[in-house]
Amino acid sequence: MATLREWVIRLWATLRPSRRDAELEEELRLHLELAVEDERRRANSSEDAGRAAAIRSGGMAQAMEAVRDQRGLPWLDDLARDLRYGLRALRRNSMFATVAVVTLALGIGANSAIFSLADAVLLRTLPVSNPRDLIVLRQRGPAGDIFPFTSAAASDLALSRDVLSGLAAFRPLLNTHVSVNGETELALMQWVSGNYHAVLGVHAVLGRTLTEQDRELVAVISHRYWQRRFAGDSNVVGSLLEMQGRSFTIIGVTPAEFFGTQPGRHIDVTAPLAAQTMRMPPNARWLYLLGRLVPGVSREQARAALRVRWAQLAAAESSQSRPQVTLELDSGAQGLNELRRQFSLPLQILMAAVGVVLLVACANVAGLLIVRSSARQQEIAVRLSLGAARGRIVRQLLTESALLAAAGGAAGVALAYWVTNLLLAMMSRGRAPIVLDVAPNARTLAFAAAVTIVTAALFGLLPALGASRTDVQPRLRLSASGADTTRNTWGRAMVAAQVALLVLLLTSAGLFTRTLQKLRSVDAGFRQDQVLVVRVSTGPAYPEARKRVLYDELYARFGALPAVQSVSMSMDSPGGDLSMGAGMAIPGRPPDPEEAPQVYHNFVGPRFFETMRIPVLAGRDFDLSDDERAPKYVVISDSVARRYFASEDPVGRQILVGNPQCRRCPPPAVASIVGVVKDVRYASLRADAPLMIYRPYRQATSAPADTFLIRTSSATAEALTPFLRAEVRAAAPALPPPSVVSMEDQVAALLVEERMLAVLSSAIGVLAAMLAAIGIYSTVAAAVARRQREIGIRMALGALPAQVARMVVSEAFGIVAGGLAIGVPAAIATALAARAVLAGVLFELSPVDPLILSSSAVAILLIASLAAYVPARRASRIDPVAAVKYE
Amino acid sequence: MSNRVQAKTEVLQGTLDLMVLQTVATLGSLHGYAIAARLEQVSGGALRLNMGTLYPGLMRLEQRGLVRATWAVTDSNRKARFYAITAAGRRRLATEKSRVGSHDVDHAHVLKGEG
Repeated sequence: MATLREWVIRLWATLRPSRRDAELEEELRLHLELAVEDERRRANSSEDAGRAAAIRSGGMAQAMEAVRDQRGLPWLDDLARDLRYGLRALRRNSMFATVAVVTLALGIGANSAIFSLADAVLLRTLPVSNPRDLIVLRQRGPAGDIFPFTSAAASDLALSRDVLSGLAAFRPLLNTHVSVNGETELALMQWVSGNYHAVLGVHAVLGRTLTEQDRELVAVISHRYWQRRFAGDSNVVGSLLEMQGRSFTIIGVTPAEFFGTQPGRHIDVTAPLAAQTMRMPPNARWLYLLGRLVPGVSREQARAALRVRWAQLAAAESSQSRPQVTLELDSGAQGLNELRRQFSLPLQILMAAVGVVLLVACANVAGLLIVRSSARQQEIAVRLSLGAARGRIVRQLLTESALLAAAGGAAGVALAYWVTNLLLAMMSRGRAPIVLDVAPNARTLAFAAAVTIVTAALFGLLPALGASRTDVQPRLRLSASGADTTRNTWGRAMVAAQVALLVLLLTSAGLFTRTLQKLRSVDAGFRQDQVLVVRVSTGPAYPEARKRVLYDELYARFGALPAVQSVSMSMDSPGGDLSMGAGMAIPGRPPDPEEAPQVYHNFVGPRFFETMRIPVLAGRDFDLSDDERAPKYVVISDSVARRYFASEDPVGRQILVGNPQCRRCPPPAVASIVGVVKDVRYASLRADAPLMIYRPYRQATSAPADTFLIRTSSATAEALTPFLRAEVRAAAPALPPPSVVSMEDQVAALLVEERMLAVLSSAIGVLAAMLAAIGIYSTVAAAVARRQREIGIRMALGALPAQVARMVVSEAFGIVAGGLAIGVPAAIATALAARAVLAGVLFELSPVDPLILSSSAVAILLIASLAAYVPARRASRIDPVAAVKYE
Repeated sequence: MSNRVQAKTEVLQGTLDLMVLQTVATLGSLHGYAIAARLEQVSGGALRLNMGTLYPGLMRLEQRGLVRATWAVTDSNRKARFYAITAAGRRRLATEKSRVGSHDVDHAHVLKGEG
């Protein structure tokens, strides 16, 4: 029984060897001397005594070795020796080592990168105390749409103290104007209930967090904002922030890891709802709810209890559509994770794809190792014949694999960090940047380490076992020059496996790229190029009358800029979200049933349809005459015309603008239709175009059209941005610079998941294709080297160079055909098995697309012929005389 | 190495360890050759320990704190490493002896310090 003490002593002895070898030798020599004396005493002659003593006591060298093994940790010694030997072997063959390490770095790096993102988006819990006890509440409408709560509902639900120890409400406001020392910047702020920090269990690193008693103008800032705006000033508590025309006193700073409660968004400033003065209509659903369960209460219990309460509340309010809304209670461990909803499926698909790439990389390196070990068979045979155990040789070869994997893994982790940041930038295109901490953490590093170990085992074991099975006798008799005619079966199998996996990756890349293409070619109903979307937000404190003056002035200023063709404005811009589902009715006709498609309203400026290049099918565009004094006119979309007027001409007809059934909404007004325009897509290119009513922005009760749409004559829209900002500064020096996005970027943001899948799966496909090409090349090249003599003889017997080249290429094609024979059915089977998943991602495309499958196969054959070309050429140039003489 | 073989080796190692312990417990501080000679003598020549078995065993006992080794001078005035049993070694010997009992006939008399 070995004790810990023994292991420590042995480990110590291993780390500091050789010190006691001299002592040991002395001890053993004495033993032998005493043995010889004893033998002599038994009346033996002196030589006989020496021999007898040696027989009785055993050899000194063996004894020393046995004591050394007991003294230290032999396997640790062996490992150190294997490592040294492995490093030397790899350095000797640095070309092989480089290719293998790069291959593994790409494979492991791709996996780590996607995993880091999946970790940040799907796995990581909020950095607060006991995140598993947190829950989020949501309302789910009949169409599956999710929305937040009214103030009344929030405060009522918060009374469920039997299941929730606390329920916090929060509302983030994008692009809030925050001034510090007179300098205004846009920041992300949120209003929260006073118990927000207490419910989360977040403590301040400086000052204090909010409490229920905070009703004054106070604010808590994030660590990042503190560093950025206040340079980490330790006297920041007590400083002032200007928001919405009021001064907030900073009372504390939250910890660096705390970003708020919505992954992907970093809240800069948090202020109490009690200090919020903007009057929200009582029916406004605007608050998000996050609560903490009473210890011992399960989510199911809490859900049941809260639903009872919710039903009572609905009955008391007796509002018209409430019964169809259900209360959803989900885990809040990750906060309110919108990213998860959007990117969960793409990330899972990509995770599978990079997993396949790793298999390709493993097969590739395994193939390289097999090629290399067949070249090393002589060395191994020598070592076996000198008495090395097969187990030792396997261990030695596995150590080399582990070295390769470790180097690949380390490079992969570095690569992953870079790639993940690239991916985040890609996910953020055309919208608010996604802020996620993707620096390596314990979990992602553990993942990379696990992947590395599995990889080493996968690619290392087979070649190591194969190599150790080397038959000593024939190897020693034959030289390494190429008399070996055994076929490299396992190496070929590895290449075939790569080809099979490559089919899978190329077809998925094809499917996702084709989907993106199809969605891009969807007719959005307007011209996206050369349009800038300029959002000039004034903040709610800006007086309504001044806002109208400002927008008129900006309209004129923007229009006067060179290279601007036309300017208009709108409340909701095409390619963006719709905010006002206000409905419509036809006078004298019964109102729409509940389940009728929603009709949306958009307030737009003069020449809106001309600026957006939305074809006017009948009637006219809006112009400057459509102002407050003009009669109420509307322009309807084609789908509204078809739904409500069928074959009649809608121009000149009257409609009721608004929902006559909604009690709290303003009463519907009569308006005349002056035009019909083509359907336009807003927030989705997959869904049908929404039913739209366009109204002149001048006829809105407030000034909601804060988005300018500017069509430029030059392609370089970005060049105009500084001029636009300068005009805003000239017209309103106090406002922060407006956000300027090209319409193309805004529409691109609609396809962010599709683009992510298409671009990444293509990158993964190219990567795997490169790896497979290396695999094919090295296998064929090794075969040519091995068969040099045979080829030489063939040529001496009259084979033509072209025939030899054809022979080599056809060998490569044989391997690839084997891979395709497995890969194509496997790809079809995978697509069919994943049909349900793929249906949510693909667009007007079958998961089994014959064209994509066949072009993948053709691409692979092309890659194979390219990879086989170089060795084939080399084979055709073999000099028969030299090849035969070489032995 | 299969588990059975390993278990058997451990039993043999354990027996050897006990015999060595018993020897130094009975006779006090001894050098390696003296221990081997003593064991050969009490077993009637049946137990011949070569150095490759004896010295790793002594090393193991030393690592486990059951014997302590010191350099000293023999009767014939030669430098040698002497092994003496420690308190832990005596305790261990006592428990092992009560466990082994007398069924291990071959080695029983060695363990009892007879002969």
